[in-house]
Amino acid sequence: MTAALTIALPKGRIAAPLADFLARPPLALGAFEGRRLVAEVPEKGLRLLLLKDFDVPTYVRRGAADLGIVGSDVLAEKECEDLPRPLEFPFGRCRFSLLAPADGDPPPEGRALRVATKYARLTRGFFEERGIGAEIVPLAGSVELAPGLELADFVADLVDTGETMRANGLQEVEKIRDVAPQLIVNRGAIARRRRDIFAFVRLLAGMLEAHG
Amino acid sequence: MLPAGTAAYVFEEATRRRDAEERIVEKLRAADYREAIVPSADYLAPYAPHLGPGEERELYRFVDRHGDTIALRADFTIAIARHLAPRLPSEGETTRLFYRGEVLRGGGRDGGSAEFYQVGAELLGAPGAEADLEIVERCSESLEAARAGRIWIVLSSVGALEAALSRLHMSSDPGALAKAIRERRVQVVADATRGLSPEGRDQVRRLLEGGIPADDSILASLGPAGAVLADVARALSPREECDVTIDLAEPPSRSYYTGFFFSVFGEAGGEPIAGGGRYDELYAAFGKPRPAVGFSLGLEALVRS
Repeated sequence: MTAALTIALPKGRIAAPLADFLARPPLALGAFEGRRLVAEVPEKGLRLLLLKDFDVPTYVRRGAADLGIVGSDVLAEKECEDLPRPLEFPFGRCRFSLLAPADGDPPPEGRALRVATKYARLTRGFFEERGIGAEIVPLAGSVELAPGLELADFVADLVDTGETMRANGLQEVEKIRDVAPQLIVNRGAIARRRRDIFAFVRLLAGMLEAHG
Repeated sequence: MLPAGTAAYVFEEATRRRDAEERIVEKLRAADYREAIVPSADYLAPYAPHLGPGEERELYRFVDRHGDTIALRADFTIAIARHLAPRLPSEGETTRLFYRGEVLRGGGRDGGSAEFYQVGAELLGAPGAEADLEIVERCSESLEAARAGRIWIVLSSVGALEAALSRLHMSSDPGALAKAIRERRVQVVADATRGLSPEGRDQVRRLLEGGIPADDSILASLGPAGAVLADVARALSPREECDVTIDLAEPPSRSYYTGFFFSVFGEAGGEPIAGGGRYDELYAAFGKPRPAVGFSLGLEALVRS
């Protein structure tokens, strides 16, 4: 009997639409029960891991998972865009943007701009490309609060419907990049389990095609 | 605290690493490979033309008291070419050598290592599949000596994917399609190849998924590069504990490779535990044109896995 394929799934923003997608036939995966972080699905030959989004590429690159699903924002921030990426999903798409207070004064001159974000590397890259000095204020979440509390002049974060942004008195200044969930694969798994990996990729590709 | 990407080895781990190294070196010496020792720091300038942008960014470098830029050793192959070329015998002779020591590649991306203890071997002056096969065999034998367990060898060749695609006479840019195939982007590749015949699309699928049999028509269409891959795959395939596949979408690990190359994966982990390839243009840059092929492996990954 062949070992299960291990798939790292993200707990965050795309977890709900992803669970809906994976529940479709022919894969028809059930939801994670209770507080379990690992689920064995022997009848499908799969083991599912439920992880923090930012941990998914690490599990896949180091071979603790054969495949993973995670946003392109996380892949870019963790410098993991070199991992094989067979599929992009149509759900959970959004954009990574620079946000500023909707009714605020322009940031004071004579000092570096302060930008609060969970994405320090992507944000630094955005400002460096434009030759603008910016101080990154790294935060783990609730970044929208930062300008109101004078922790930062700007916020760099994901914008989907824009509801959270508007509710916190922010507006979009510029889109930095589009974001979409991706299926990623570890290179060792391709060498070791080529047939299983591509059979699974084709199964998901077929589900995407059938359901649009 | 240690700098990112470095590690200390003590007790059993240190012993295991040294023992593995000694067993590998014993095998290489028995196969008539002689040791080469090169400096662990050198002027950057002679190396720079042979490094890709990513490889150059990985270097640890500093300015010495004379104002020259010095780089810590990030790769043995270029260092050996630079120091060995002036002393090489006349053309037509073959030279077999091995090396061992630390290389430092900065970045330590996503918590990965920056310091690696490498053992490798090089075969100079021998073109063709026979020399390529010898190097893959030395690599596989070295991994066995290090008790690496089961290994998966993936064979490929620089430019082979592009050459295979150019034979399909597609209207889309073969460079962009090759990039999408290397990233295994199933949807992008399907969109770009909609206009192809069913046979053409199936050929592209085989290129994307790899696992190309030695008698596949794709290899036959590639001329000498395809013949080398088929010959090496056939010579290696009937072995236990060693799985061999041809995958033209496998990315080369060093930018100086010019033809045949291979990656080796172990029972766990996502990155290769060893790899090698042919670099027929490197010695010409140091004044002694010479076909060359070599391999290297990182001992830490073997000892830890």
